[in-house]
Amino acid sequence: MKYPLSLTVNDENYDILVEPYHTLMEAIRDGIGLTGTKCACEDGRCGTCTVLIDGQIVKSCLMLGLQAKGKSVLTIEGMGSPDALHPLQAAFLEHGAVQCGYCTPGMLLTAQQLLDENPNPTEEDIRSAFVGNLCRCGVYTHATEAVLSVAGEKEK
Amino acid sequence: MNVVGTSTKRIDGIEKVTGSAEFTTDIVLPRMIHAKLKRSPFAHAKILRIDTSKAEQMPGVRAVITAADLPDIRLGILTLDEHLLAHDKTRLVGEPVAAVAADTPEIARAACEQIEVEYEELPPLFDPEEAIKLDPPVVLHEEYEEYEKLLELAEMDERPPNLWQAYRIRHGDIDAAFKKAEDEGGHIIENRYSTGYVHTACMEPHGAVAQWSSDGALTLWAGGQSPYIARDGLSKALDLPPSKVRVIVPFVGGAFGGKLTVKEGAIAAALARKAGRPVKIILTRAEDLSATAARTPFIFDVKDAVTKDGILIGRKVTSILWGGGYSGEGILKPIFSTHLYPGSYRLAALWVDSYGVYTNRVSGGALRGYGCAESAWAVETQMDIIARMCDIDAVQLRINNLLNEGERTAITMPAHAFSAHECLTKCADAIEWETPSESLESPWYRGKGIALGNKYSFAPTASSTELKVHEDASCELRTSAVDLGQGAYTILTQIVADEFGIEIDQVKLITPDTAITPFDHVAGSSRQTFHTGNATRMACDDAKRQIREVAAPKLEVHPDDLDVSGGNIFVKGSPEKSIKIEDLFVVEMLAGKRPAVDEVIGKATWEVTASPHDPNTGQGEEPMAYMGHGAQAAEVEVNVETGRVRVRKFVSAIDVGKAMNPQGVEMQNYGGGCMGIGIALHEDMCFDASGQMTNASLMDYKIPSIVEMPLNEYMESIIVEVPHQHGPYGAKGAGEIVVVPTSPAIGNAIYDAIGVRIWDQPLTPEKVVKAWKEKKASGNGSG
Repeated sequence: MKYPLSLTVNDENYDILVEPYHTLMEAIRDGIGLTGTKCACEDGRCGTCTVLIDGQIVKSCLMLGLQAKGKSVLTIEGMGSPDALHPLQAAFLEHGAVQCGYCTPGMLLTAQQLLDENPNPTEEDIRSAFVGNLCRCGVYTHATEAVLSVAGEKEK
Repeated sequence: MNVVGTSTKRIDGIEKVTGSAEFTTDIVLPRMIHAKLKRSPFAHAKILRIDTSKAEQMPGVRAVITAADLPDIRLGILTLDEHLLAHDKTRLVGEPVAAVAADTPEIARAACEQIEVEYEELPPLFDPEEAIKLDPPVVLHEEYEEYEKLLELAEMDERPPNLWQAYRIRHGDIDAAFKKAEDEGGHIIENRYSTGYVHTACMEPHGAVAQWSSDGALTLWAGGQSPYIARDGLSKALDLPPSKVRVIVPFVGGAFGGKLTVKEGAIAAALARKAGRPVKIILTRAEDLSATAARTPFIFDVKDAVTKDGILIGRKVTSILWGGGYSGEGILKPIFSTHLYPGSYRLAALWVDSYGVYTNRVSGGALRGYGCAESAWAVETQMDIIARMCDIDAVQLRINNLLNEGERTAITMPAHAFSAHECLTKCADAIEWETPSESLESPWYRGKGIALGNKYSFAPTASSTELKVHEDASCELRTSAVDLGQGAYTILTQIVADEFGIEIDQVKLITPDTAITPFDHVAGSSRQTFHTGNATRMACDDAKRQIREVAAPKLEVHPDDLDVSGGNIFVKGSPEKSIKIEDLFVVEMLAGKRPAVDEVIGKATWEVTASPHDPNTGQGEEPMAYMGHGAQAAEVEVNVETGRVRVRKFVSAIDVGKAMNPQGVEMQNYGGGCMGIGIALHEDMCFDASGQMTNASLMDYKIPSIVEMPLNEYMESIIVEVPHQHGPYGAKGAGEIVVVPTSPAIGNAIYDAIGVRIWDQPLTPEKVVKAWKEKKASGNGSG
């Protein structure tokens, strides 16, 4: 039996019905229809389902949808738009940190949370932040460059 | 305007960074239901009975199928040995035996559990060296002789019953080579190497969405590497005319060789037909890792004859590809892996016996490098050993053995655009090869290693494209080439922009859809830039020819005197005499504009033929489309107490003929290096005694994370550009060569650091510690 869930996603309020066993990832993808949040490992390792809840990183496959009641969730769709990319989105493109693109949303949200907390991270800080995001295309080197470039911009 | 050769940003980048890129996993159709598979728990078993009645009665279940619901057709790439759903036997753990479509994935999964399958367990066979015997303990395919086969095996007196591939190379006088080495103070070096079980582990799992129309036509969305291979497979599996099958390729979340066929898609299609509703199937990570084709192991026995001066004069290799229950997409690997035995080197004599065998493990598939990355592990480790034995620098020894431009390799491939020397020396310079690694405090040791590699791109093959010119002078490229992340769409767009002298955003790329886009063989074998790139240039030429022919009378010149660029047609040498492309279109009431004469659609097919090689000698004419070169070097740090190996520095120098998009090449260099590091050091599918994979999750099957990568300042990408005579702008592919030399470079660096060889991949901490202890025990330990 489905239960009602009210939550805020990308500053919009949603009232949806979810099964009690559905993860937040499923609620976002199937309940709300925001498919930028991906699923790849189902066990919290890969980080493709990363979202921010009240500014904190959450792997949305590890949280039940109903646990997000009343929370404010940021997904990749809320980070920027084609006409107004978030500086990190622009930097990922500029620095070649996007290949197949499946892990990209999760990596971007992880990077955003890092910069929100630490506007001037070192390469080591960035490597620590990305420990929970897997990318089979291997964009790690370029993603690190991208984040460093945005951090540098903010500094100016 | 020169767009080709610049680091144009990915044309699909905005969609990917904003989350709007639609992958197969994201597709939702009205009334769509969900499929799950019932899989075999046994590696080898007879199926005595399947009862689906309980599952069928469950609320929410819309269709249940078994082999009985499907045409009795065996499928395969070249040896047709596999049913879509297990027919009478299962030959690996995880083989699908039935499938359910239901309103939710949860109901479908529960229904699978209600399907009763009665098995008679058969003894499983896992050891490839048992499997290859003439009287093996177990035969997997009793009906092998009756199977349809599209490939001739090497002749043999009696085929071992589990053998599905046999290929030989007989070049030069191998006995004379070994005698010469023996008689003249040279060396004979004989070693056994093996590779491990590696999975493509794409971030997007395998999946598909199938929908039937009322006229009995199928549309399938699947993130595969070739819509036409998929279409052909669906047509055969479901016994449909190809014209009734439409395959659309959405964005693809990585493929690396693992998404050549769409077996799950065919099952979803069969369910959708029975249920009368669209069906989506997405494999779980555990299914994806344990039951879709993997890079299965090779065993290589290599014996080299070398002069005392370090010149390779003869090589003898016997190899076995440890295949699985079915020959699968790995069917050509025992052949293609042999290309690396001569590789870039001159070899007067080469003798090879290469086999593939069935065992009750996961079927052998393709993975970036297709056999070449595996054989490079053996032969490039061997080169390092030879160098040390002859006391010649490992770079110099390789240089001394290189072919010259225009020579033919021992497998009769012409050495053209032969850049091995340049790749090797630039790579050596970047890693400061002449300077030994610094000594570290115990238990850490540092060392450097280098390796050369090749990747051949297969032939015969073809790519077709269509290029439509619109009245606003923008161009629309229709291609079935697939962007798997490697950047094909961007490179093809760059080509069109360049050929027409227009901006990147004036080019629209129509992505693969067999109802619209013409034939392209496959996004595999590093072939898209080379083949589809050529076809795209030719289609542009064809469209420009049509434009010139329409414009010539208007400008009162011969079409050959006209040029097309930037939306204008102008007289060569007199650019003031011009008209706009727009002027070739006329206004039609209510319909806007139409072409004055005919639609301007350029069409072209680029085709590369190849001579079939004699499976008994490996000799023929030109076997492949082109030969790519690359060298990689690594500096590693090894902890002899824990066995941990850290790659401190990594250099990848590859020849791409012409860097169509230099940043894209850098992405391949780094990304390939990343995958290569994982394969070399820690990726390892593990199996228990029953044949069940025991680490089928991304927690336990360890693909590289950022932790395994060197710091940015120690990553170096080198682009070598030696143009190929047939490449578009001289270009060659980059996608696979970047993982070929990685493992031997790292293995050789480990030897440089601690003086031990580990012969079987991956080079895990356990093996490092064991090898170190053995070395200490034998009294050769240093430090």
